[in-house]
Amino acid sequence: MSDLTDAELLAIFRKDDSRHYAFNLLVRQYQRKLYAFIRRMVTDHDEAQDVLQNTFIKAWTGLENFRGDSQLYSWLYRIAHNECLNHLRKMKRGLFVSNDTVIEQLTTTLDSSEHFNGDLIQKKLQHAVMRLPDKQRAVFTMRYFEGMKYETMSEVTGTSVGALKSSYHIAVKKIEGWVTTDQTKST
Amino acid sequence: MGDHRSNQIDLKPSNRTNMERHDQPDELRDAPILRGLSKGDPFAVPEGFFDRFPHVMQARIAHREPGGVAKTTALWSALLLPRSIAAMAMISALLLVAWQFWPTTEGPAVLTETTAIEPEELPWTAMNTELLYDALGEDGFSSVPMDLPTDTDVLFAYLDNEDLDLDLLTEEL
Repeated sequence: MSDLTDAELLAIFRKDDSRHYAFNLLVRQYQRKLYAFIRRMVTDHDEAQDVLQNTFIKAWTGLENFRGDSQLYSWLYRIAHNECLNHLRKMKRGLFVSNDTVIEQLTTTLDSSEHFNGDLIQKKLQHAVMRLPDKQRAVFTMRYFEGMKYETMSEVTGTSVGALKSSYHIAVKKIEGWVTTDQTKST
Repeated sequence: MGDHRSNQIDLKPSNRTNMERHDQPDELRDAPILRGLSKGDPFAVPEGFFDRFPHVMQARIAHREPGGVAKTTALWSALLLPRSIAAMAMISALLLVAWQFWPTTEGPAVLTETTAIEPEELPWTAMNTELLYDALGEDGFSSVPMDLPTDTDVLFAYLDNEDLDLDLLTEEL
């Protein structure tokens, strides 16, 4: 299936009799990209699936009012980003636990996951990424793994480009340091 | 379980619609490990997950209308609205009848008592207004300056992103 442009998708969506069809196309077009981001944020596959479903439900309810001021892709990404942060916040609140406990839990999930195919260094990198604060993890993931432009990231997060650049710079330094220390320990 | 591992997430550059890949050699200048790592996605999903997911979503939105109003809600409110209007009319009529036939001595007495209270005897009214204006600012809006310098904007956004503890930051400075 070839990808449709935003305008084509929205045109199909705005016809009463083809809304569900258009939404189906939208899900097929963006599910993998959004899942990849969400999975890196919440680690566990089942939780990632829940967050992805909530993201698309919000998209379905809001798509009618989407005016095309931003790209459909960055709009969807913004919903996914907010859903991830809400999910992680609820997780901490629901368990009455500290940030460290959540990191520990995410690490355990990753180590025991049957759906992680990375090698040792990728696992170490993922452990380091999980130690970042939630918002900074999102910034790092968007920039490092997805190669997203700062301008798009700014649309997604609602944060200024300058703040995003410095947050990413700090994140890179932290992760490089953690991975290096981890490697020194294990050798 | 082995068959569950095969469905790797495909994020090759060719599949990144509307997504401009931006490599950052300068940003990773001081991070040789990150620079040298493969950015392939190590996360996998159960076999057939992305084939099933659109059907799961279709099932979830089946009874929802875009715009957040479910069909059932619209129908329900269509039935409920005339009933609530009728109920309100009935209650109003009952109150009117009750007021008409209420013993006349009590009604005016209460009214007189109420009107006899002078505004000065209610200092809390003035106090509350003053407090309200104090809290909101002179013109009734927030007294916090809205045009903060750009640098401060950046700083606050950065701090927010970092989840930094301000006390910790002050100590470091």
